[in-house]
Amino acid sequence: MKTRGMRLVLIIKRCNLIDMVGIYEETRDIRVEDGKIVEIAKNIDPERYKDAKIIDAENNFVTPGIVEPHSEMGVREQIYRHEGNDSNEVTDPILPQLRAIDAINPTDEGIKVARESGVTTVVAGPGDSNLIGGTFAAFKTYGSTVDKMIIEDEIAFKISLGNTPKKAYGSRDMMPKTRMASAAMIREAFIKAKEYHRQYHSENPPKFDMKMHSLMRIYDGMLVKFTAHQAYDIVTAIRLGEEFNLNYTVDKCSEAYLIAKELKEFHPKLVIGPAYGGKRDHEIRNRDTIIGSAMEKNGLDFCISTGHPTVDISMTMVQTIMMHKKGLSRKTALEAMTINAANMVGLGDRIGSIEVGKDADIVIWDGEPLDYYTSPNTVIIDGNIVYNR
Amino acid sequence: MLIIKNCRLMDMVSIDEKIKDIHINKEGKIEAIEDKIDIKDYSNVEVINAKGRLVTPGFIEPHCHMGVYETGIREGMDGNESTNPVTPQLRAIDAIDPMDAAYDVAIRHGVTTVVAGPGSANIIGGTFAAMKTYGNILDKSLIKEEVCMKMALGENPKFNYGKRGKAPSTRMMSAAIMREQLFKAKEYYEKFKEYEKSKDKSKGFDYDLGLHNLMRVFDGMRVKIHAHQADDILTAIRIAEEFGLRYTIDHCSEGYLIVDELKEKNVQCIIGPTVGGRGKFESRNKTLESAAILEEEGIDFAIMTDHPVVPIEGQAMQLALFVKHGLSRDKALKGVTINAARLTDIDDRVGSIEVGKDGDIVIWNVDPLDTMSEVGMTIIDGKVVYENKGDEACVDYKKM
Repeated sequence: MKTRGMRLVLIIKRCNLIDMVGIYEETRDIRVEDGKIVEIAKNIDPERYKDAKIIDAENNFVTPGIVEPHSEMGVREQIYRHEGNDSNEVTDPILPQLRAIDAINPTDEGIKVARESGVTTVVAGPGDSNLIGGTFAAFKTYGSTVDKMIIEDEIAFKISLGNTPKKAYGSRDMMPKTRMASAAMIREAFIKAKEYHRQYHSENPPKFDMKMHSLMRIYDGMLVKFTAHQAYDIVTAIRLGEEFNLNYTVDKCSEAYLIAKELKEFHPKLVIGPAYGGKRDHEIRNRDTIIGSAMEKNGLDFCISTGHPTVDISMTMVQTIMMHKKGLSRKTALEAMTINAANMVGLGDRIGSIEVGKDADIVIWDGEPLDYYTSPNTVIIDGNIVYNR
Repeated sequence: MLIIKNCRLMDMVSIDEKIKDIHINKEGKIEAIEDKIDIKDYSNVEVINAKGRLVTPGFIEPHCHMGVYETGIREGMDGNESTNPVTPQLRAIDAIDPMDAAYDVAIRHGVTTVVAGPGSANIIGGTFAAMKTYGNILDKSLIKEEVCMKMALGENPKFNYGKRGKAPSTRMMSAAIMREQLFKAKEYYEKFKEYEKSKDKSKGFDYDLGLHNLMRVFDGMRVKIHAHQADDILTAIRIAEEFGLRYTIDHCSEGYLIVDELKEKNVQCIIGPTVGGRGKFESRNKTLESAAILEEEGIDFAIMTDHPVVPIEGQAMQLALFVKHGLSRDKALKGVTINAARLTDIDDRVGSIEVGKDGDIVIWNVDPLDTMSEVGMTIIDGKVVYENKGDEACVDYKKM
């Protein structure tokens, strides 16, 4: 890319634009400078920007990059299932001091596959085995060091309900062995963190406790991601979130469609998925791609996740298509993968839509996005062409 | 008796999208396929009008664990008897639960036959069964109770046993165990044939259930050999040729890298599951382009989901993605119909719409390779087992 003055300019001509905030299939040109979107107009004259790099989208669909709101990408690597698996520190069920950023391997093949599938931002964190697993990181899917890729090094806490912590600890005769203990241990940590937070902001700060020092940030509005599959675990998550007045989402939500009507009154924020894939576990046996249309029909606030590598990131669009086939509308489906996902991880001001001032994370498709036979033609992150087919 | 009118028929043998009528007799077999069958010639006949929609044979899943690994029930996991790497005496029919929710999913997605068996933890795992996806009594749903003997190479056996300090912990040992058992079975086979021929049976015969089951590979029972990596595929071929086995290479992830060898040896493969992640090292080179490469080189293959690895509702999606990456429509559909039947030795009954074969038929509302593909009606043995009433979940969760 050449420079104009000191600025790097990219102009994308003839976009059939779906910007996710109002423009739905209208022809537009997009101008990008220094990685940010600076102009969206019916006709941008490239002559005015002599050194600009010009891409002709040839009236293909153009959307913001897909945002993956809950995954283990880079933490649990593709291919190297022994050497490259750093997702579950199953030595203590309460580990809020762990950070995914310290485990993410930027050379994980999953990150390359994500980029080539149109996924430009990924939120990745620890696995489900611990009740409090640590923090998620948000990063762009291009770069050679994680620190250069990162958007937020610690964006959310991972709290896990359901069978997985029970299996990891109960099977070794350790707590938690039951859902009762799981909830009790999470509540205990929340109560302790609240007290630590109070003392920390008082005249007599507490003795340093790394766990509490990390966890107390939930009382400053840091996002909590509860993982719950079964209907009653989803309700437990809401119960805990409300009790401690947290900024939270309920993630995975396999059975949310079974209680969609009842969920409405709680106005929860739901990160749904994986909704497709093997169902060997009891708690995911009702997993069904009908969940998308059930959320939409009931007016629930939701976004879509693959839980990569549970559903491989290469299948991100395939999973959404399967929801679309079961009645989820095209517009809501696309929003659930972009702007809603960005909003739900608190990054809606930077990514998730094509708007002036936002990061230039853009996908040019070679056909209808919700079609198995379509692929990204060009993927742009921060104004750089990172993939070209 | 059932007559299906106005089918846009793909019979998977010779008829490619021509309008035909199909007559299925009261035994559930296909009686006639004609341009026009006059229903007035029949009394007491059920008539379905396909209205020009695409009609194919019921789809076949040629390698899966349906009913063996049950959907979402830990108590229902009977896939790997990982207590002994050599268990040819095991039979999938003794583990399959025909009430597993996956069968309901299967008929909703046009799959009428599955070939299901044990997992790949053991070098010799036991036999696969071929069955229809409808019915609560397994013995009534069966096509053949034992169609193939499962064997496995590569990572799974060596990790399963190696981590416990047991054999095999290397590929060398895996191959040695497989060969040792085949030597023993061959010897047993010859002794048994002699014993059968002998007039004096007073001494009796020293039966061994494992070898007794395994020796059938010398009577032509097909062996399904699990192999992903090229070196494991070649080991499988080496051993199969040494013992003159009939076999397929199942999964065959790196087969496309050694096509010359596959061609030279006339190897038949069942490829897949190919969509999704490269979750293990031995499958790191799998690619959706492999099917097109095998087709171009003229290799004989069928396509599997390995349900529940790719759940059965993903069968048509996987086909579409193979087609996206260059596989022909014809080979994609044959990969889950006639070729899947032929490579599991059940093509005398299923896999195509031909006179004399089972009346297993799918009427598609939207073609199977279309993104929006949708089954309209599934028919097994001439009986309508599923009718799409619109906007349904993949499975009736109340059944689970």
